[in-house]
Amino acid sequence: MSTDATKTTRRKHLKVLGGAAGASLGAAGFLRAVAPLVEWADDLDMDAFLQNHYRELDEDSLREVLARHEQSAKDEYGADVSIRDVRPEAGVSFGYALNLSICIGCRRCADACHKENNHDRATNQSYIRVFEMEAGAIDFSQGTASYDHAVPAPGKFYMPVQCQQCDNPPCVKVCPVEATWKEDDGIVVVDYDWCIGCRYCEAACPYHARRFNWTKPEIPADEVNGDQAYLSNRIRPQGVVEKCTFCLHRTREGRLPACLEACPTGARVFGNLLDPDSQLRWIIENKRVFVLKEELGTQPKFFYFFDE
Amino acid sequence: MAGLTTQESPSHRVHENIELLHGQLQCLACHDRDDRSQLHLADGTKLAAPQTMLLCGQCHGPQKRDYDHGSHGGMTGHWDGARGGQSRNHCVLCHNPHAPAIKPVTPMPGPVDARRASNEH
Repeated sequence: MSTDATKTTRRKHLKVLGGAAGASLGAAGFLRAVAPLVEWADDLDMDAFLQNHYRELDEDSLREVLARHEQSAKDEYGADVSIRDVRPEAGVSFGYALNLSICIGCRRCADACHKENNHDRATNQSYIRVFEMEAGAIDFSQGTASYDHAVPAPGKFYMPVQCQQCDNPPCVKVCPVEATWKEDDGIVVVDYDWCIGCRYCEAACPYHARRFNWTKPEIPADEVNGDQAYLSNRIRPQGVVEKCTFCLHRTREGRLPACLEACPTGARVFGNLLDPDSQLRWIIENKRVFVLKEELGTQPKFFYFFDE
Repeated sequence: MAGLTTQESPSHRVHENIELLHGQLQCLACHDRDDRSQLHLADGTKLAAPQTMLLCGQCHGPQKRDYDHGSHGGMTGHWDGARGGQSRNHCVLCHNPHAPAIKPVTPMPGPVDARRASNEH
């Protein structure tokens, strides 16, 4: 593994850089030059600064990283959390289907996402936006996500939109630091410790599925969901982009996503696209199914469908 | 309805709030004539209460088919049957059998504009 080598190189590089700068600028100049780094170090330790990319972490380093994040959840939020590293499984490619004929727009899914994924309470953040649409067409310019009246309203239909887990994801292509990628089971993930917060991915996503943490998320200790994974619902730091992960901390262990369990109507269906006997495959093979913005060639793994 | 109940009988009070808004169906289409808490299919077969799927499915074929394939009715549990089961809602957990159309509900709160929220702090 290149991990140790990379770490050593980066550390050495910083040291050498520091030494050289000190010699040429003089002590006072050097101190002034590194002042931002020193101030910055108050809320960022050297281990965090030198942490490697998720995919290049060996077992020991990963264990240290997870432990450090568990400790910081304790220190900053007063919450006891367990952060796991859950990997994709062979023979599994996740898909999601949503029945527009029976969705009533109650936003239970968005609310479940908010709680499950440790979203900021003040902004009522969620990976799901439910659009109230004019019946008869899929026209988002006539839709709104901020409706506030009893649902379903006459003449409307409801369309929840979240990450479509594209097979050809434009958000991944634009990331300048490879902090986001598609995993083998089709889930597009973010290494929140590698993201630099440039928001290119947010701009590239045609489904507006990515969110930026403008502030440090605020969550009361007793509301923190302690069942966490590194790539999914652990509390994200300020200044990084986050997205729906199909609740990989649940689904990679065979469970259903939180938004599905919260749906009172059964509009949501989740499963393995590679299993011909799955509920999901029955829908794809028997219902009128479409994907959102098919013409863009993003090849979503999220399918919408109608009853008769 | 004379002969079935009287103003004084306890069963009348139990039933006085029932509003029947279910097509042309009347009580005995589903309830047994002699034992009203017992349900029966159209062919007279008596039914245990949790089997409402069979009862409702006699008329609502497409919904029964969708239910059987997991695309109608809320559920919790596992997508992977090898690692755990699913708990499924049956018809009358969501639909009132006497007035099955779902009434409008109040939605959960919508999204808050991030910039507005941070200004309010």
